[in-house]
Amino acid sequence: MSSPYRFAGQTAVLTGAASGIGEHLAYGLAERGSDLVLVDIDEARLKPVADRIRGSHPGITVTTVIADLADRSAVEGLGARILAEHPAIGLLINNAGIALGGRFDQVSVEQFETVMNVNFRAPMLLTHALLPALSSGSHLVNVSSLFGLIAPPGQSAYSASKFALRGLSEALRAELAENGIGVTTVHPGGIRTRIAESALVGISVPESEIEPNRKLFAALLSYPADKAAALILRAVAKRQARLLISSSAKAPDILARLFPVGHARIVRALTTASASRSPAVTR
Amino acid sequence: MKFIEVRGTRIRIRVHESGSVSAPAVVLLHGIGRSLEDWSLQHSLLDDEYRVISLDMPGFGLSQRLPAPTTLDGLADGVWAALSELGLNAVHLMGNSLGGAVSMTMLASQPDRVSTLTLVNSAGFGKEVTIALRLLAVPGLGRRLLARVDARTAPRMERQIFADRALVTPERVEMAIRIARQPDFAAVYLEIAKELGGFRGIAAPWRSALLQRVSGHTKPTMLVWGDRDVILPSAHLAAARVAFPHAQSHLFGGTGHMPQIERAEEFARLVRPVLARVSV
Repeated sequence: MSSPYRFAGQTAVLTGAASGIGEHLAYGLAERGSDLVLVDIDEARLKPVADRIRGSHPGITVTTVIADLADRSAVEGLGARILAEHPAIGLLINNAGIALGGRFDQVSVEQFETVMNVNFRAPMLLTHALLPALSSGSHLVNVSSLFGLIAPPGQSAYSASKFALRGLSEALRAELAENGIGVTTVHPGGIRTRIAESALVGISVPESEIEPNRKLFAALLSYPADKAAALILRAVAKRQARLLISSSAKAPDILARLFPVGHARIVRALTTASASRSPAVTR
Repeated sequence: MKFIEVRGTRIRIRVHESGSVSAPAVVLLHGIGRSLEDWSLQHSLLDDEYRVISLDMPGFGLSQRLPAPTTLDGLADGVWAALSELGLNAVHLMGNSLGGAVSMTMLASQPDRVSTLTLVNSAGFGKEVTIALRLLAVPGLGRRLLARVDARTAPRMERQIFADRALVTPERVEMAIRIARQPDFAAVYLEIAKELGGFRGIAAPWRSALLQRVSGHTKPTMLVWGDRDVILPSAHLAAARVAFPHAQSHLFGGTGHMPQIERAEEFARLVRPVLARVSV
């Protein structure tokens, strides 16, 4: 893939569009002239995002779809509906994701599976369903995570789901290159989003630990979501294979408190991956 | 198509008018070295509800030049004078390329007369510009290049304007050659090119001064660009949005320097609601 991705006049499908990186991806795509299909579970948050875009960019078409990506049949229905309404898609961004707090023995199997279903099965199903709409020049983005590269304790389900998504994404990059379709795998770490607020908590995590951990998690999130979105769209334009976005300013300290045993390894991975506040980019 | 005498009988300005004279006026301004033909498609798309006026700015197309060296302020004053001659006070302004910079200058000089502003691949938002314009600043070269607009070079220049080459029609090429043969074509072209920039691109001082003069206004504003523009790159749209934070914007895909031609119907659909926000 060498020709840059051109956003204007193409349709972009984006999951998790109501807040965080997804919300800012939606604004950035609208500014670049893409028609939008915005997917989220949170109707109350998605509507104002869509309305704001329609007000600022009346020349593009904005469609919103409310769907629970944890539900297999809902994702299949979503894929069928989008394919029927948009037989040609320029860009698919699998951005939606959820977090789950707690050690492996503190989370239920159902919770573990919910994380896998939203973070991995949904992008897999949606990409599979929408492949016929992608053609030469199209592009696919999978938002994995820093924890799709390293697996800290307390993140078994999240890391497993993000490792799986990374694996799918990297294999697809090679497969789809033959069809002229680009693939970018994104590994954000510490982006300021709502993921801490909306994180699931393992059913056996002691009550007293929930709020302090949620606060620590939220404090770890320092990189602005709008900047992360801008970096992702730049990586798409350049057909970059992998994008790592992370702020290392606060992370080491908080990681040490979060993960007293394993933090050294994480910090090493973090600091070698991104040496400064500016995003480290690897190809 | 008619000629009007502006400022006594000193300047003859070519005007194309359509629509009811009592309807709100929409004024369409072309780019450097161009003519009102660049807006001809919009007349029939808008004149059911509007008095649509396109004109050759002083010294461009088939209009006579201003006596003084051509500047943005001079062009803005000249267009305002022509509109006064037509009995117009407040108007909806749309400007393409240089015409966008002239529109902004008109807004700065007589803000009460501007109802809405639509900037189409407008100059004023960045220094990057096609090498063809930068070369004009090379001493001695500019006049020679502009003297050589003929059946061989004109199609090449027209191809720079559109993403779709089918739009380089014999009529457009013929018009480009005709206006290049006007006695003051090269002089006016070089005067305004020199005022706006040089070999290094479009100069920053006039841009920042102009944007400062118009940044406070809250007129309904639409910013439009074509993503395949090779004359003024579409990356300038981001700067335009910063300069006009309240504006709406649209980036046309597969479109070059003149969306009002290349996406004529979509363009009209896009601007109608903007015009409707203010009744003149």
